[in-house]
Amino acid sequence: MNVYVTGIGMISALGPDVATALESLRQTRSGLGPIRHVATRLQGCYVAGEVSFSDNELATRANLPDADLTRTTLLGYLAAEEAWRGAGLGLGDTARTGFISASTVGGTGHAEHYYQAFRDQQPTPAFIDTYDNADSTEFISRRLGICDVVTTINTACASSANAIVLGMRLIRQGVLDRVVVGGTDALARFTLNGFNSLLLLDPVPCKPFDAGRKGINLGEGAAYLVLESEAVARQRGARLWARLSGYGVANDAFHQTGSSPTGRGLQLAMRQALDRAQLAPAAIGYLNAHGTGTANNDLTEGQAIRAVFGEAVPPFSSTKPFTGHALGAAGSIEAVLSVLALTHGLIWPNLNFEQPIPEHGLVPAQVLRAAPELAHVLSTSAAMGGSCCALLFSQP
Amino acid sequence: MPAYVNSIHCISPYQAAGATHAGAFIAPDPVYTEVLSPSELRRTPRLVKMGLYAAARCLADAGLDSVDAIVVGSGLGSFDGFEKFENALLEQAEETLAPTSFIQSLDNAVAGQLALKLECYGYNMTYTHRGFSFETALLDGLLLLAETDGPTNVLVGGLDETTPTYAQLLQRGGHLKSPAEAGRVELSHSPGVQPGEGATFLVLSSVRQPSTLAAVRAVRTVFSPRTALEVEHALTALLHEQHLAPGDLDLVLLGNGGDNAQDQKLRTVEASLPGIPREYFKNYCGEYHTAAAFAVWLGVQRLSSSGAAPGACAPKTCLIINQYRDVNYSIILLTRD
Repeated sequence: MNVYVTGIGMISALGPDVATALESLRQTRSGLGPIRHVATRLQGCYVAGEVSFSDNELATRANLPDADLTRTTLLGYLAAEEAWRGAGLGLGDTARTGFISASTVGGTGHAEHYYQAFRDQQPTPAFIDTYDNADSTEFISRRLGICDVVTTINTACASSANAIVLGMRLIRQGVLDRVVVGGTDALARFTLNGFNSLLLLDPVPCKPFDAGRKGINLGEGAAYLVLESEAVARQRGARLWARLSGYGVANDAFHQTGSSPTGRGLQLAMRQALDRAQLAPAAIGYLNAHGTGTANNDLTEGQAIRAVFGEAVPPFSSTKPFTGHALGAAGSIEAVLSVLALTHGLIWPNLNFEQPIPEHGLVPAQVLRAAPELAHVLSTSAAMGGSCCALLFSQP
Repeated sequence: MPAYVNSIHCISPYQAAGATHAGAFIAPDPVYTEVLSPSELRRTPRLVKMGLYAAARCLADAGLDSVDAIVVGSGLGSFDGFEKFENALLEQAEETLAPTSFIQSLDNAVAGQLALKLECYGYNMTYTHRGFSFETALLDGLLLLAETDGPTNVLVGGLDETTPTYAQLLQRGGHLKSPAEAGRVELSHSPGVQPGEGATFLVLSSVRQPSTLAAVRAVRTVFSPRTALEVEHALTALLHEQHLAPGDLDLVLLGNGGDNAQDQKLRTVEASLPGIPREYFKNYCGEYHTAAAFAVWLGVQRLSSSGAAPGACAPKTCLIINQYRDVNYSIILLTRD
């Protein structure tokens, strides 16, 4: 059974919606900048892909100025609502419909705001009620009126890619006809310090796949896709953005925080996606790589790309120099960017690249390039805990 | 596609629970050295230890060295990791932090470490959705077994721990029952729950074998129903799909949490199933996000003749109906294999 993407929504460092992000990409304008909204000693030390609005501004944009919502929920709601509304859906369209979201940070940013007071035995709001990853999922589900399959995935940086996979599988098995899939994560002091403690942050704009790369720029945002079965999508005359033609899910099973020398998990995920779509590697016209900018990831991911594609590596790029690494939301943000690449026949450049990594010698796309014949786009994600995911989008 | 439970292991407060019990239900720690090396013991947080132990016992009982896929549900993951890293961050003013507790705070630590330990390169997933965490993991297991290119053996788990800080935060949030009101959940007239914890792993398989204990027939979740009728409709639909009538059920395990307001809908649903033997499983394990995993373990025990309630014949069909905070409702149908 074919599964189609019939709606997309995204808020990121590239802007509050898909249209603004598309314009930023066309102008090759990165969303990276100084940290302004997170209260942390690390402000001024690192650049990040922050969404440019304060929590209050986000709440106003969402028409929810009086609700006490976490930043993760606000970001998620804005993106999910854009995807849902953009797909032409409303409260009458919730039969056999699910919402599969992903988050790794959840309400941590909200909790850490009050944690010192809690330690000091002072009264605080009940931040434990919004701390978990499901808080945003449940708020958004209620607003959209979705109640059939509602759940939340956390497989670290592959979370929202895996949410897309679950949604597709639920449609293929006939459990659902329609599902909103994606993820949301807000930048938080906790995660900034976590990645800083692992010595994985680059103080200046990141350089994925470059020999001199220094690390990650964290980001934030949310992106959701509406997936529908072919029958339901055609019946209601929905706009078909893309066909979700394949997926792969694997575990690298090598180390808690580092990936294997050959990128075994990513290789498995990419091969599964190609097999499920019944496509040869040569069919891929653009690969949106995970490309975090860390020494370990870009070396091992490159080896995985070499193993799958050999000498005929398709045009590829990491778009994290545009958005930062939005952790749990990264997979669905990059899925939306992949759908946009397919729709507009454009290959997004890998900013800041200078010299290839000697071990694999891969050279990413460096300038915005028109690719009017683009038929199949592969998007990959990898995560701490070994989770690897590949998504394959094809022309509808 | 049948989904056989070829083994199941549970770390729970069940044995430690008396008739009445005030405060949190805490699971006694097993002898972790049976499955973990001294160095693993030192560097592994308790929740992960519970998971690794329950999974190892489960695999041994199924006669397996590894599995094809790992699916874990945990409502909160390692809250302990969050607490430790956040404390260090505040105490050291964001200077020279050690990454260990940050890594341990990742919710997919259990599934990731299991993949490492079992060298399982296959499907690996972690659900962190309150009272749907385990239910979605189980649903995913059923989906995997039904897929044409799917795995044969899926390790499915549900686990959460109640740390002192988490219990304190629940208390402050007004979620806990006052000790004076502690008692059996089905008799409760007061607000609040008694927190619990546990770690349950099972091998779900498309292949029946001599060790097979039971089968999982169906899982259904209902998000935030406005009335008990919505839950009853889901139940009727599930039984209809399985060609069963309510009268065919031999045992119902009910997930009343002990908060009289939050249990209202479940009490109404229960009243629609008259004359069927029932147990209230949170009397044994307390309330936590993945309590349904304990209920599956209990159901599997009851379905085997040795685990049936004293004086009763072993039931053949067991229905679990759970609710978490009157928002996450779930229905799981188990049968003797």
